[in-house]
Amino acid sequence: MYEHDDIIAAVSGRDTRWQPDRLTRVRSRIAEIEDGLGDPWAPGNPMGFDAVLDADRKEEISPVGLRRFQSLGMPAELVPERLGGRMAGTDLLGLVMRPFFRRDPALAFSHGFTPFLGAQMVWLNGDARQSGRMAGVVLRGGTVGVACQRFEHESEFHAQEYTAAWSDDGMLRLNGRKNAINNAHTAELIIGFVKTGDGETDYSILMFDPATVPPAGVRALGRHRTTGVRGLQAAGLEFVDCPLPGESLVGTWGDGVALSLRAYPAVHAVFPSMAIGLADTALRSAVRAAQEREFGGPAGDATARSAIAGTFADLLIADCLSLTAGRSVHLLPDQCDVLTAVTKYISPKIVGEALYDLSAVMGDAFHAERGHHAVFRKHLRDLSTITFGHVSSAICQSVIAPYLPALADGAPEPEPTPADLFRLEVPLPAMDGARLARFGGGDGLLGYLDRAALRLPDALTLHDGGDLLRELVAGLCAEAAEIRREAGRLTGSDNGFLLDTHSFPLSERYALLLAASACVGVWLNAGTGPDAFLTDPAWLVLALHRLLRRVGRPVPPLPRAIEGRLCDEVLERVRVPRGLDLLGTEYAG
Amino acid sequence: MSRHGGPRPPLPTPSRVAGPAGPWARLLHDLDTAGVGLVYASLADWRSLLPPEEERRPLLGRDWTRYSRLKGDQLRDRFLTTRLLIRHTAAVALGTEPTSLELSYGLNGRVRLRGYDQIDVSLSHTGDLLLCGITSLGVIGVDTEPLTRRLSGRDVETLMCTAPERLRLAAVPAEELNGALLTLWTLKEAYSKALGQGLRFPFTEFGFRTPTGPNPGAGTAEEAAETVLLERSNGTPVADDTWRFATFTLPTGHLAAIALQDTRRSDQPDTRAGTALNRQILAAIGSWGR
Repeated sequence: MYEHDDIIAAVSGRDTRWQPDRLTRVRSRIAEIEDGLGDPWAPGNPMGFDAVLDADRKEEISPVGLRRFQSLGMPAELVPERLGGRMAGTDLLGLVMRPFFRRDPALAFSHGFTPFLGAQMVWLNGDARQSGRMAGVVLRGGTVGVACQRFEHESEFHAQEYTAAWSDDGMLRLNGRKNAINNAHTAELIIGFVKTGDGETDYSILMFDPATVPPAGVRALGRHRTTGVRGLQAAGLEFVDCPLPGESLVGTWGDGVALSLRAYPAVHAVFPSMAIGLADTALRSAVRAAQEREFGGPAGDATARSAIAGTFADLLIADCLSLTAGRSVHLLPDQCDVLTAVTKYISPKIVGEALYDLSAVMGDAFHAERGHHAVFRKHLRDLSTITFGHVSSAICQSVIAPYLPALADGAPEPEPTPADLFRLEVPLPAMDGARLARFGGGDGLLGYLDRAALRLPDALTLHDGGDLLRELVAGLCAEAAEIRREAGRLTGSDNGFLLDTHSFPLSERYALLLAASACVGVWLNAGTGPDAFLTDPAWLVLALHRLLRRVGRPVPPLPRAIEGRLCDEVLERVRVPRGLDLLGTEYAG
Repeated sequence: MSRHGGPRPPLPTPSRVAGPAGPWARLLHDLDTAGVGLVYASLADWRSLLPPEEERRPLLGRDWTRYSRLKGDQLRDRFLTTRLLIRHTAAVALGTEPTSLELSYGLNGRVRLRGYDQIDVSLSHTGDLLLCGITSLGVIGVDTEPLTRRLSGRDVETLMCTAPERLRLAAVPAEELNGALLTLWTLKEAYSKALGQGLRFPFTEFGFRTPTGPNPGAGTAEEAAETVLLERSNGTPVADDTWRFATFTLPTGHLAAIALQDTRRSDQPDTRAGTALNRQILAAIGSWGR
């Protein structure tokens, strides 16, 4: 038996006899970060919403925020343990970044997400020297910029692209201009996707320090201002016959598209997880606005209570999906590409819709530009910018659509989904770049629903509302069967699905079904440990009810008590306060 | 076309489509040049062109269940017509077949094209008139009411207007009051629909400041677009230049309002379904012989 102090010593790593489990470690790390940032609603807190709104108005990243990001050791969270950091899994990274994302999305996006995106390309594809160089820059809090390739369905960050070619002197020559690269003028390292030939897939990945190129070869272009996350320091860079050393090449020449696809799973899983922090603040601020207005009771009338409960259910859906996706990167590396793309595709849509539903709860405060209510509108604006909107959807759909024919009836069934996919406490193996390049897509989650339906009667013996849950899962299984039938009718193969536009709606319904599977899996396996609220199936009932409605199927009537249970939980977690996610860690405000 | 920094193209006026066959050229042009288009149609005109009952199921897709529960030809025809108008309008933007599309509904009933988030649509109908708006810029909401609809009355003002709006309405001549209220009503409907809220967002919680005059707020797009301002319930202007609002008077004797949010910020948004999947990614995945 250990005394309290022993546990603290163990958590802080001073005790070698006792190692806390993964859940305890991540909870204590989140608490540590929260303590270091303080109550975001407190006036005068330099990491509070007043300061963040002020920096947003000035179109700056708060220097105090950046120092705190570094002093709390956040850069090390981005770096795998083998490279000297403390990242022990893709599933944990989003969780520890939430305290920053819920306060200051511009800072968290620029110094948390962007370096992670760029570094993944190097850590999964580069050589030891390149990986070490990138890890060194990230670990000491250096800035990383990412110059994305152009897509037909472009966004501001995906318009224009660079070209590169080898020259006789053994150097590379970089040409072209891009108007929007995050951190362009401060980056110590830039990761660039550059076109390196006339073929469809002739791209390469380069890594270079823009300060070391000859001044004549590069021209800094003006600041690029975004609609949301106004503090983002995005800007343009133009290169004219700019020489770069050959060692700037990351991975194989001309193989850039396939190499970047290896990095997508982790990136696709981590982003929606981080963004739950942003949504947490929006929901919390809507509850506060409703309570201040006192319309119809502590959290408003029936419509407001319903919107609050529904939004919370949607946050839990996104959390179940990102937890499952994050773990799949390590546990099913050769099959995780589709699940992670599904997560990036559907989570922002689910969360975005829920947050807009809170506008009716906010009422007049929805339009506040000053004062503490203004954070709601700012965060909504930020979410819209940092999800990259349609271009990101198109990338995800490009990963999902080719897999759909494999869902058809009669196609070989993938291996059953392992239970560890849903259980945060189980440690994960390191990422494996070679296996991430297999693009298998067979996570088995669609079939998981049928198997889960068989387990439900036993799992529900101690709970009320079991019939309703079984009916919802039966509806989802019927939809899964319909998806398989429609997948079998998709015309063409290989490039054929470029022409069969039925794959677009089918991708979305498939995504909603995988979200449902992730929720059922997390519930059946107590994915984030024992917890009275999560053990009660009320949240799962509401989550599945909303997913089944979204998929366009008839739903059984929802007892009012279900939404009541979730709304009460939200009010309690706003009061205490605790995180509005699966972990429900105590927050500083 | 450059929308960054330079003046935005004016909101195009609504164009009439006589039936599923069009004409759609104006809509395509408006989408290409302004990223937004509005079409209106006569229910009676479209109804006369509807296919017989036995051919309708494939046209409706997942909407068939809802359709088959409707009682009577009139309700069914109206439902089918509105779905066809949305499908045909979206098919123009996506460069695809109307029957390959699937309509989905948000939890508050907002209609979307499932799997196509490069466009947003909004539909309004009243009597014989159908109005459909579509954009590739962000979100859109539209609403239309007959100019003859009577809204005047103190209760109406209390239910749908903010205090500053009521104060301004008090100065409007009696014969213009109904028009002013209709303008506010359609704008509020359009904005609330653009947010996906329908009537859930209480209309007394936000307001619009419209130009005064004989036909407040209605006019050519250039006149109207930048002169309708969103404000908070106490009259404070909402400083958000991503939103644009306008009203139009249609030749059919209806008032139409549009609320549009432009967050896309890309110079030439390509909305076609045929180019949405990235060929490089498909080729890279395909090379592994899936």
